[in-house]
Amino acid sequence: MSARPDPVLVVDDLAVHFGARGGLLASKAPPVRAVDGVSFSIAPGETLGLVGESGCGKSTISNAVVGLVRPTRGSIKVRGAEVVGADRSALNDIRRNVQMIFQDPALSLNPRMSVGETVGESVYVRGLARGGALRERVAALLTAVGLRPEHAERYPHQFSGGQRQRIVIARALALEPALVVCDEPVSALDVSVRAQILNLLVGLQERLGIAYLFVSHDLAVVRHICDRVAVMYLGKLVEVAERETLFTAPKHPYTLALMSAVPEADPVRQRSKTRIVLQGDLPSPSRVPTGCAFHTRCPIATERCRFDAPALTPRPDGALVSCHYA
Amino acid sequence: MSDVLLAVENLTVDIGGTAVVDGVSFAMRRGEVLALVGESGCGKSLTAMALLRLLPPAARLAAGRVVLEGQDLAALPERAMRRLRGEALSIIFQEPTASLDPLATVGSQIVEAYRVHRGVTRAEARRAARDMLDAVGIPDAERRLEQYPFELSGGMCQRIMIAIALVCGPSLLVADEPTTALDVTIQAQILDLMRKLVAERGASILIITHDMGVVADIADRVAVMYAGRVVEVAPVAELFASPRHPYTALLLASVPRLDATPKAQLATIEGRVPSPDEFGVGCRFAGRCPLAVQRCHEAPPALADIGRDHAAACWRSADVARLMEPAS
Ligand SMILES: Nc1ncnc2c1ncn2[C@@H]1O[C@H](COP(=O)(O)OP(=O)(O)OP(=O)(O)O)[C@@H](O)[C@H]1O
Ligand SMILES: Nc1ncnc2c1ncn2[C@@H]1O[C@H](COP(=O)(O)OP(=O)(O)O)[C@@H](O)[C@H]1O
Ligand code: SF4
Ligand code: SF4
Ligand SMILES: [Mg+2]
Ligand SMILES: [Mg+2]
Repeated sequence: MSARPDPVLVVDDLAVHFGARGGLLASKAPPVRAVDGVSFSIAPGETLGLVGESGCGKSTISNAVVGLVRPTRGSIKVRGAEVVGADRSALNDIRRNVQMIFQDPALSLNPRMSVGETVGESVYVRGLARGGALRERVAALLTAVGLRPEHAERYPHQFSGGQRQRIVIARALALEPALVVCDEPVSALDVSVRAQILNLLVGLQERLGIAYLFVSHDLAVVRHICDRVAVMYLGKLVEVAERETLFTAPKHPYTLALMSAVPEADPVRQRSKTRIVLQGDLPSPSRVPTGCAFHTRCPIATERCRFDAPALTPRPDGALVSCHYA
Repeated sequence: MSDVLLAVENLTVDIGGTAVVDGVSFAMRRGEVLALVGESGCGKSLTAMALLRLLPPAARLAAGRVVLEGQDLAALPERAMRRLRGEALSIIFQEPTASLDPLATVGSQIVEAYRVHRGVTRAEARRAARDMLDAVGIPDAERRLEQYPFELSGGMCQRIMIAIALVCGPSLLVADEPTTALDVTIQAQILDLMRKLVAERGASILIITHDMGVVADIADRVAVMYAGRVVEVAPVAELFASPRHPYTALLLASVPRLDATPKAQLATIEGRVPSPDEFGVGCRFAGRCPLAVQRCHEAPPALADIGRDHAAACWRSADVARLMEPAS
C-alpha cells in the first residue's frame, strides 16, 4: 500500500455513553452505549462513508468529531489537535478545520439572519475580513455553491430546501476547513435536488481538496460519493473497506444483509438478486447483546458468538472485518 | 368478471380554487401492484385520500369517478363508504405511530377492526388477530396483543398497521409511503410481506412512494405524477428501460446507481416543481424541461397511448430517448 499523507482526522477508541453517570435516574437505567470503541482515520481529500441502521451511533460520532458531544473515552484528533477535552478557545481553533452539514437545512439556519450574515458570520467573528472584503468573500462562497451574490440580502424562508442546503454548505466552507462532517446531507431532499447537492459536494472536493465524513443510510449514495466505507452496528464498526472492495466483496454478515436490503433502482437487477431478510429489530443500545452484538439477528451465528466478541481484524484485500466466520 | 378492480377517472381535487390534483385517471387490475411516484407535493397523497374519500377539510373533490368493482365510490353514501373502508379497501399511512391509538392495546385495535366489519364474537376476532400477527411476521403474538404501541418499534407498529389493514381481507390496499420512515432492513421485511399478500391473497396494492428502488422492487406498473397530473404510465420494466416523458427520464437518471461510475455527474432537473398558482396553460413541466418548445408553453399535452400499456403526456415523447444517453 502506498504511504498515506498525514490524516486530517484520527479517531481512536472513541466511546460515547449517554446517561452513564450522575443524575437522579443514574442508578436505575443502564447507560446507552451509543458509540463503543470506534477507531478510524480520514486522509486529506478523502470521503469516508458511515452507514448503519437508525440509532447505531452515526450522528453521535459526527457530533463528537465537531465537539458537540462529550466522549466517555477515547481521542479525536483533527489535523493533530485533540478535540476531546479541548477548552473553548482550543475548540474554536479546531473549528477552522472541521465543519458540519446537518440533515435538515431548515433547522440548521437561523431564520432571522440574512443569508449573507449566516455565510459570513464565522469569517466576521474571527476578524478575518470586514466590509467590502467580507462581502466579496460571501459572494464568492455563494457562487461556489451555485447561488448568486445578490442572494446574500435574502432570508432562509425565501429559499427552497435544496437552496437552503446550499446556504448551509457555503457557511461550512467559509473558513476553508480541511474536513466537513456531513450527517445525512441529502436525506431530506427530493431526488432531483439530491442529485444537485451530490454534484456540488463532489465538485467542491475536486476543487478544494476537502475531506468528508459522510453519514448516510442510502448505500447507492454512499457508493457514489465515498472512497472508503465504514459499516456500523450498535455502536461499533463491523467492517471498514475501500469502496470497490466493500461493494464487490462485502464480508461481514451484517454488511451483506444491509446490501441485500437496499432496493436498487433497476427492476431487472433488483428482482434477480438474492435477498437476506434479517429477522427482528435492532436491539436497544442500552441492552447490547453479549458476545458479538449482531448474534441475535445473524443468519450464521453459532454458540461461540453469544459470548465471544470478535475484533476488527484485517483481511487479505485490506478490509477490516469483525466476525469469527467471515 | 372483468379484471379491472379499480378505475379512477378524471379525479380532480380543489384547494382554495386551484386544482392541485387535476384530471388524474388510471386503472388497476386484480392482483396488481401499481406504484404512484413523484417528488413531494405533486399530489400523490391527495389522490389517495380522494379515492378513499378521506380528504382534509381544506380540500374538495371537484370532479371525477372512482369505480371499485363496478361501484362508484364518489356517489356512495358516507355510511356505506365507511363500511367499505377497512373491508374491501384499506389504507396504511406513512407514520405508523400517528395512526395507531396510543391508549389501546395492539390486540384490541385489530379485534375492533375485525368485529366492526364481521360482527363475530370477541374470541373469534381474537383468533383472527393472532393469526394476522403471525402472518405479518410478529413473533410471540399472544404477548404482543397485550402491548401498547409505545412498547413497539417503528417497524413493528408498521406491521401492526398492516395487520389491521389486512384483517378483513381487502381487495385493495392503499399504502402511502409505508416504508419511508423505516430502516432498509425493516423496509425489506415490509416489502416482502406486501409481496406475500398479493401472492397468497390476491390483493391489489396502490403504493405511493418517491423511492425508485421501492418501485423497482415491488411494482408491476407505475404511474408518474408531476404537479397534480399523471404524466406517464407504463409497466415497471419498460418505464425504467425506456421512459417516454422527460420528467420520468430525468428522475431516473438523477438517482445514483449501484452499477454506475462513482462521483460521475448525476443528471439534475433545474428549478423546482411549480406551485399551483404558477401552473400556467401549457405543459406544467415546460419551465424545467430540456426538450421544451414553444408549443409546450401554449397547450397542455394529454396523456396519450404511445404503445401497448404505455401512455405519456408529452408533445415530444418520441425524442425522450435522447435524454437517457449518459451525460458526458
Ligand atoms: N443526547 C442523548 N441522550 C441519550 N441518548 C442519546 C442521545 N443522543 C443519541 N442517543 C442515543 O444513542 C444512540 C445512537 O444515536 P445516533 O443519533 O448517533 O444514531 P444514528 O446512527 O445517527 O441514527 P439515525 O440513522 O436515526 O440518525 C441511539 O440509541 C440514541 O437514542
Ligand atoms: N390539507 C392541505 N391544505 C392545503 N394544501 C394542501 C393540503 N394537503 C396537501 N396540500 C397541497 O396539495 C399539493 C399536493 O399535496 P400531496 O398530495 O400531499 O403531495 P405528495 O403526497 O405528492 O407529496 C401540495 O401543493 C400540498 O402543499
Ligand atoms: S461473529 Fe458470529 S454473530 Fe457475529 S457476525 Fe460473525 S457469525 Fe454473525
Ligand atoms: S410537453 Fe414539452 S415541456 Fe412538457 S415534457 Fe414534453 S417536451 Fe417537455
Ligand atoms: Mg443520525
Ligand atoms: Mg405524501
